[in-house]
Amino acid sequence: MQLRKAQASMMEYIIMTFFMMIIITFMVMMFLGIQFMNIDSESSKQKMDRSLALMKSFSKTPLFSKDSSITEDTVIYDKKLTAAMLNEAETCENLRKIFGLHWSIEVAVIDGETEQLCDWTDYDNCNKWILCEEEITEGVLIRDIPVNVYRDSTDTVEAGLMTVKTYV
Amino acid sequence: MIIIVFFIVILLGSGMFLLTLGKSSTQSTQDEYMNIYATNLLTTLVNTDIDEKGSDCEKMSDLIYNTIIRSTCKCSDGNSCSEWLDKKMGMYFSETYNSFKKENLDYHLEADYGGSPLVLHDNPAVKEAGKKRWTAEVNIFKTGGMLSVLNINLIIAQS
Repeated sequence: MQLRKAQASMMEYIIMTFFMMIIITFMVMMFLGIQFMNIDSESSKQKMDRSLALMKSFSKTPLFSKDSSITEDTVIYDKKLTAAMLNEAETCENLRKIFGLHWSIEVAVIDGETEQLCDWTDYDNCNKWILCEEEITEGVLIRDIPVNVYRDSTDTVEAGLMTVKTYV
Repeated sequence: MIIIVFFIVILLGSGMFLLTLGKSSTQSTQDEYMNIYATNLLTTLVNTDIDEKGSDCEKMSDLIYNTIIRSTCKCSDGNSCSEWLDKKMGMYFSETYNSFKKENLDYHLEADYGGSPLVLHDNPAVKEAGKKRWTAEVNIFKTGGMLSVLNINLIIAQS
């Protein structure tokens, strides 16, 4: 009788341990899943933060803005963008030392005309600049903000759109 | 048995907490972006040149200001400032803003000068309760004899 009781108690113990193991395994898997999701979310947050930081920097930096100092208003100087494209490879290498790797910017003037890419041979009758573009298509975060663009040829401030691509 | 249930509840609770934490940090970055977007959209609009140099309608901010304070104001082509304002606002919110506008967002723009507001682009949907909103504001200082302040507000809300 006592042996049966002991066996039943043992069985109860084994079943309980078995269920506990299942529950713990399930919980560990759930926690790992959450951790992976958080890592993923943290990575996308990092990318978004970097994109925001680049956006703020590019729109305010005296390297591209009309004023030589940092101002509240965002007015990009078209001649500075054209000048940056004159020797793009070297310019991008220098800019990457300041702003980090794997990004590119596009500035387009919204003037209702067909998009025409600017370069050092055509800098008046054009309305778009692309700087430091990379040949990566996956995992690219694209963000844009409205900016003003100062057109030197017409001495006017026009509306434009700055697009920042973050590749990593 | 009670201990096991207690153990499960604690684990589930901390799991939910971790999930919420991850989501809220991404949301705050998105809000920051939307605030920058709204501010830049408004400053870009008011700073854009729309008429000849020295005209009452040189910049969008001049046009808005002159439309409010001077009923006799005219732009370089001889049309009244209020006509120009209607035309330009229509153009900005249909053509130009199509490049700036984001999907599933409503835009409302109004100016306020000395307590008398002027709606520049009306979209009452932005003021509906329960909608997520982002606002931007610029103050334009004018010194025509006395210092005046023109306040322009942009409200963006989720559709």
